[in-house]
Amino acid sequence: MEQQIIKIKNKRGIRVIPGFGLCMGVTLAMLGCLVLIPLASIFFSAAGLSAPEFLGVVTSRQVVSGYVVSLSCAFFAAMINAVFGVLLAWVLVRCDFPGKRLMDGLIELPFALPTSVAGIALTYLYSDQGWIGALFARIGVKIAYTRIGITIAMVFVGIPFVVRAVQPVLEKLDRQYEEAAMMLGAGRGRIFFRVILPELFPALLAGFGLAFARGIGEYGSVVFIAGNIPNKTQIAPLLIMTKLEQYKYSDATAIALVLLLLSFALMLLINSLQIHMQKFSGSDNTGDGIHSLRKVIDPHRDAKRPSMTVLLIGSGVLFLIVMLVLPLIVVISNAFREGWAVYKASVLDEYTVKAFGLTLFATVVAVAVNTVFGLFAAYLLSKFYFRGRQVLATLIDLPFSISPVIAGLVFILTFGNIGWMGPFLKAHNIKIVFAVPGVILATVFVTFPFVFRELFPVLNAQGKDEEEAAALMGAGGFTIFRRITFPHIRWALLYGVILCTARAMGEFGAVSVISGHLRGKTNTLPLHVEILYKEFNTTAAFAVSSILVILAIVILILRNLVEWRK
Amino acid sequence: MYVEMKHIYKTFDGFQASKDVSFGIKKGQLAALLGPSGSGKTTILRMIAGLDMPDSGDIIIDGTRVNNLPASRRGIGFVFQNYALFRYMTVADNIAFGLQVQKKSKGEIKARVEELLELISMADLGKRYPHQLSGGQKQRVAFARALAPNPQLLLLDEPFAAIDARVRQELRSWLKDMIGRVGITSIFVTHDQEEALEIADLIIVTNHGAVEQAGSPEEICEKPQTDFVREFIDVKRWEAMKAVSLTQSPHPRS
Repeated sequence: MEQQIIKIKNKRGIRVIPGFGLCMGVTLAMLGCLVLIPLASIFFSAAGLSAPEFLGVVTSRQVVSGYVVSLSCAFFAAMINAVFGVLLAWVLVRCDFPGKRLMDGLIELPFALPTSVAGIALTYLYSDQGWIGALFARIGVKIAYTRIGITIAMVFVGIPFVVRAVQPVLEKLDRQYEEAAMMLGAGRGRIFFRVILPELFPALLAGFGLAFARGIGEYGSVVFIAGNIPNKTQIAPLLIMTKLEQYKYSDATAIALVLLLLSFALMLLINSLQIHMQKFSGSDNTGDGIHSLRKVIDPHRDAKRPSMTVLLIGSGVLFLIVMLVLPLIVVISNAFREGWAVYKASVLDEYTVKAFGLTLFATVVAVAVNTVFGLFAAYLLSKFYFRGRQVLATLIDLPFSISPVIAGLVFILTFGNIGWMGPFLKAHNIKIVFAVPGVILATVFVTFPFVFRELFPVLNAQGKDEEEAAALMGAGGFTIFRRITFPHIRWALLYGVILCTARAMGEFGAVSVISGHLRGKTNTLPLHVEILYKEFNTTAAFAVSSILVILAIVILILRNLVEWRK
Repeated sequence: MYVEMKHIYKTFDGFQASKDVSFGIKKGQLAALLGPSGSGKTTILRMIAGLDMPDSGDIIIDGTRVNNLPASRRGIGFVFQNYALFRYMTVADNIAFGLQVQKKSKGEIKARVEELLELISMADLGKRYPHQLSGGQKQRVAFARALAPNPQLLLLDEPFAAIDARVRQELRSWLKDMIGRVGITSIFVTHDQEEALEIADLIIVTNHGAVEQAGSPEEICEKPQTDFVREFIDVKRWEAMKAVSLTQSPHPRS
């Protein structure tokens, strides 16, 4: 989340590359309409509340308990992810073993798997009758429907963040630091804690912050395993959801506003810590800040102390199997529990097929919109210098740190009956909330930064010399883009599109808030899974989930293929 | 001989980095490994340090074969090309690191760090962080850090490569003076013959992974044994240097 952009040279120079106005216009228009204006609605609505009303809501026992549960569980989950994230990154960078590529490819599973699917699979696994839950039940530990369960679900969704933040830093880390410590007689433990860990710390902090923010906002994977016992296992996003279902929009807004401010404060704190740490690194390798979620594999030789290596690899593999592979097996085995015929019937059910259609439609639109935005915004921020680049980059990243439930809420507050655009829409008979456009808008919102984030680092690293040379030879803006820029970003673009597709298909929280759950009309596949599960039709729920699991695996395979091509 | 290399062979992924490398260095000598880039000189240094393992041959330090001794137990000081100072520690903490590893008492560590800061004339800069130092200061800190645990052998990898040409000359004589004062056996790697000729007692010329000739600067310049040495060494420069040192003070060492 650190937003250090490499300063473009020739700051005050004349803009040689054409297209500044167009890029700026498109970027600001899309960012404004799709993110900023809806997000502003939450502040407008909150401004309508009187202070005692507002305080009354956010200091009620249930709400305070919700904040405490969300924050504490997210904190512990992020700590667990910090430990295992560093361990996994270490194993992936420094060790060589069969199945490493597979392990590496699995890390992004929580991005690709819809949160509702993860939620029901984890609940099944950790309930008292579940494979793991039963083991713990015997020694008297309850996992599902307690805060332990919530923490586990939050660990699941946060796995990729620390690994992918630390991995590239570890790869680039100069071996000389370790060798210097070794020559001074230091053992492995001291070298790791005194020399390597401080080097990894800024990246670790960034990953920790993202995992923490994601945990605080997480809804889909947590609600099932939480059990939602008032004052005990109710998370803050769930309280927002409950208030919305009771049509208490002002209460929901108040709760959401505090949650939003909490996560902003957290990100601000982590950002400033990071800037402080960057002082030490001198002018070299500070990086461009906006990290792609991609990684590179380049094994270093590390043959000493095989027992330690085996222990590290073993715990990494065990962690991934328990956290990622077992939930997948739960889904597949439960889907076929009642045989092929029942599976086929559930998958080919009329509503399932309709939900599948809507999911595809929303995904295609979201990916298309965000690709257009990503291209214009990344080109704008990497090829032109202007005041406020930094601010713009931060704004684009906003949807990353916002709870999906709040993302849904902002659209209700904008376009719903009580929203400020409500009367206008009603007069012209346009339905957005509880209708397909709302589902699409929510999907676009949560996946907004994905393509941009993949394109920007590549474009930024490439500089703008080639474009300037072409412009000086008289090429027009479109020709420059097509002939000069595009060949550089082909793979990054494809990669961004794949990640965006994964996230769009699986979005649950935001869509859940805004869809109204109209079966056959506004139900997407992840929502359909939830409905079936709540109707105790678990086999069907798992059967539908299995489609999503297969899609997630296909996406992961595609992602890795693209990775290898580069 | 204090350091002895006997028939060392080393390959990296099919690339022959060392071919039958043999030489010896006497206690208290300052030796230079001199050769063009890619000639295998750094590999030799790293094998003495224990950072790389030879495929075959013996490395003997002070009469003991050290091939199987890990780098952390060889008790060798090493100055890295880019100094590899620990960025998140102060100058004093960098110097203290090797002493903490040896579990020395706090008072002992403090005294030794102060002594070394004094030696490198940076007594009041102990609280600085590496990013607040100039290149020459970093070099001196790296030197002090390597010397702190009292090693019997000091290895320096291209010690002047990352330093401004302007300060290089000055630092060169400083380092020679320091090593002379501490009296520690030292080996440094360089591709700059002027550097080697000026400060080394013994020069080992390497090319394509093999030792071409080992000898004093006089021997290397006046009696080159191979065609490579004859072409590589610029004798005119040696004569000019000799003329200068004759008119000035006598050689400070040896």
